[in-house]
Amino acid sequence: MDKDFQYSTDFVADFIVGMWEDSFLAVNGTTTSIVVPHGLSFTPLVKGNFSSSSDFFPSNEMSTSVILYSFSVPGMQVSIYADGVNISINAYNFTGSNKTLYWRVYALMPDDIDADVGDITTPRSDMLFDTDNLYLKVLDRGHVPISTTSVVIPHNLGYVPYVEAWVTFSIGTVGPIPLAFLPIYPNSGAAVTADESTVTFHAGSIFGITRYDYRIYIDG
Amino acid sequence: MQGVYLVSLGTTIGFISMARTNRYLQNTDFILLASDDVGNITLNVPSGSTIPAGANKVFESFQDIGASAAAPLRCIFNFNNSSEYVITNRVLYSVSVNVGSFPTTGSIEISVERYSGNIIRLYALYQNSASSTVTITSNIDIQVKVRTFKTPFSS
Repeated sequence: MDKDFQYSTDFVADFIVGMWEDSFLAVNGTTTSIVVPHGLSFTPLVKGNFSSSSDFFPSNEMSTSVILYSFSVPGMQVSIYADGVNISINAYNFTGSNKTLYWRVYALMPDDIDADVGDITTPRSDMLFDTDNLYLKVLDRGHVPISTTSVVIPHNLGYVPYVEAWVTFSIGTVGPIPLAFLPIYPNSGAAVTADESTVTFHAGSIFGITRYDYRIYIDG
Repeated sequence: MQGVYLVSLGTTIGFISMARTNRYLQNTDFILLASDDVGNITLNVPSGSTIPAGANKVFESFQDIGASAAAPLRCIFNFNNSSEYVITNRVLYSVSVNVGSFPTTGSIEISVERYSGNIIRLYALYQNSASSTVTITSNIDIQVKVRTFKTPFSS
């Protein structure tokens, strides 16, 4: 099957259109926010991870939401958004002390954008295509408006595919999928679910979600 | 530089340049999303677990997966062998509990993090802010398919 190949010319591969990394001091007991101009001509689909250690162990994925109901367990929660100009990172630090927060963010391009972007130059620039790795093969990429009802996209692969998704909020910012509330209640829980034939984008009225951008890969 | 000389009747007439063979067969103008491994990690939150008043309880499991690198990871969650899978890295899951002897619904935070090197950690955290002992009254079987990615950054 195509999904068993590391790379297939039958499918397009996703590529990264922007990368940013830095660190900042996250003040204990409050939210510290930074804004970074992304320099792109569109709102990028951002994802990122963070750590309080420069070697990124342990590291966690950035979301667009934090759990607000209790902070009795020390920790740090970090959210990320992008708009047409900036990337915003918000770190809620409840570790008990000020922490340097190390962060890394990369971005993909929405399917309805056709813009020129500069080459990405990094220390990995000589390793753009490495046969040690698997390159995700895009079955479908797109976006769906969302309001009060869920949207179902068929894939009919016969297995549960790997999916990437981002949400657009009513104020226009874009970021990763928020914290999922399960079991999912109609018209409330923002989440993406999949089975062997479909992918469902659930209405996220709690979060004011207006659109999902997505990639469905043939890779499981 | 490696190459092949074209020789005709003892006279060198050309030289074809050949790149040194290595494992990088192609390149692109952009970095691709490169996944280096995929694996499964499981965790059971057993019915009957108790959390004292005002305390927290962590259920956790660990799995060796992927390269030892600070890389993104993506998760597909499954709960109690459902046919539906959830694409997320973090879940707030409703669970049946007794607070003291009063049956109600509580919430358990479930997430996956890169713990160290190539070790990932799946954890479920119940924070009991009540003044009575909480007893979890429903079993939760958590299965997570984790795909790890090579970081596009330098290390």
